[in-house]
Amino acid sequence: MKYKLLFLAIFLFSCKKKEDFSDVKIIGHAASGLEIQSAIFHDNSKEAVQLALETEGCDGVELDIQLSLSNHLWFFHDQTLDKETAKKGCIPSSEDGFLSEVEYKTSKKEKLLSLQNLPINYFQKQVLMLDVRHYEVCKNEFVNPLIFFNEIANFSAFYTGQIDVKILLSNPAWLEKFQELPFEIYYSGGDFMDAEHTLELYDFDGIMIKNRHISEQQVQDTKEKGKKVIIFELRAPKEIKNAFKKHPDFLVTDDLRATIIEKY
Amino acid sequence: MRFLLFIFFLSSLDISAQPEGKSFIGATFQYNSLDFFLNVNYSRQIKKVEYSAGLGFGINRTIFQQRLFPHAAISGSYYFLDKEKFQLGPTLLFQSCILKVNSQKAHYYYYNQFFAGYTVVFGKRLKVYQSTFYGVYLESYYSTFLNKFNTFSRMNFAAQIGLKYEI
Repeated sequence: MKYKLLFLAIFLFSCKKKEDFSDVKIIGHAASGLEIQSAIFHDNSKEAVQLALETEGCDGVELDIQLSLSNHLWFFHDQTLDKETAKKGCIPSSEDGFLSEVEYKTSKKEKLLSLQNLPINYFQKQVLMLDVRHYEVCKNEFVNPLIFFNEIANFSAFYTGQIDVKILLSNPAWLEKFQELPFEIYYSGGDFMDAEHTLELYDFDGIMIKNRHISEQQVQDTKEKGKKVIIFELRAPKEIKNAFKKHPDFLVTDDLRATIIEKY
Repeated sequence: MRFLLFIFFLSSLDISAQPEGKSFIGATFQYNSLDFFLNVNYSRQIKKVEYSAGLGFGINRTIFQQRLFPHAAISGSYYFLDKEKFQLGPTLLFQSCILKVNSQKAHYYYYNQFFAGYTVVFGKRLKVYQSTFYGVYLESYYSTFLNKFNTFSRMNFAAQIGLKYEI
């Protein structure tokens, strides 16, 4: 019995050299992860951004960005306000005054975060991925790409060197205009076939793709073509480990701490 | 702290009233938003009050990620229904765990949870029990931005099942 326990202890805590994942950067999905039970703050909130950036080992955050009716940018994941807040409607059909009063349905009642209120001082050269939401479901139409572009282009804090901005686009038609920005632009699309096809047609800097949609070989093939790879949709330790072994450039994770444990 | 004192107070009431009681050893499997925890416990029941202490670890972090996630818990239950093969009553639980997220840094994350819930127990000498809890979760970590420890709270729940054997 004594030896069985000893064996179990050795099995559990034996020193196993970890694979080197220093080439993979860890990014918090919507800052703190989407629909994570252990999250203290709501995704895309100012508090979640601060908490993520304070975490030792976090290389940045990914945030979903939408254009309001007042032509300013707000961070919000869903297409409508209905599920996560007590209000109804869409960001693109709402004025800033209304949005500034909107709170998430959480115990902490975090407010919606606008680009103007992004906690810039928390970034210490970390990455900010802007997932551009170009479609308005309330009106069933695309938002104005020029206004969207100008809002990002005119945000002076993006040019101080304090933030490493990367743009995620799911609409290749917007690429030409957004390429005027001095930031890397990634195609955020469907499966690998779609991403590969899009890279052949458009000059994106890389792709953002779900972990289950790309293999290790496909990651290496994409990197050999000079394109970067962002992998997302990671929750369980097994998925995280599997994604690290593909050696993408970035992991956009829903469980920031579990991902940092895997790397360090 | 008051919560802990209350648990000890609860148990001491019956210890002073009647010295004899039953002792148990057992194991608990708990689901919590932090991890799945496996604990070994020692508990003692005197009249209708049972107090328990346990030590264990978080399964996902410790086994699947090979990062030790130790866990300690103490609890007190009052079985207002105390039959030979069935017990039911409210339980107070305090548990604490510690995790090093980034092994290259010196800082740890500290998680403390204060729960209230119920426990239902079946069996005579070998007992099976189930508890469900709801309460306050406190998380402390070192803020690299503020250069100090920060603490945040939220509500949390936990559910556990366990086995215990009278010794």
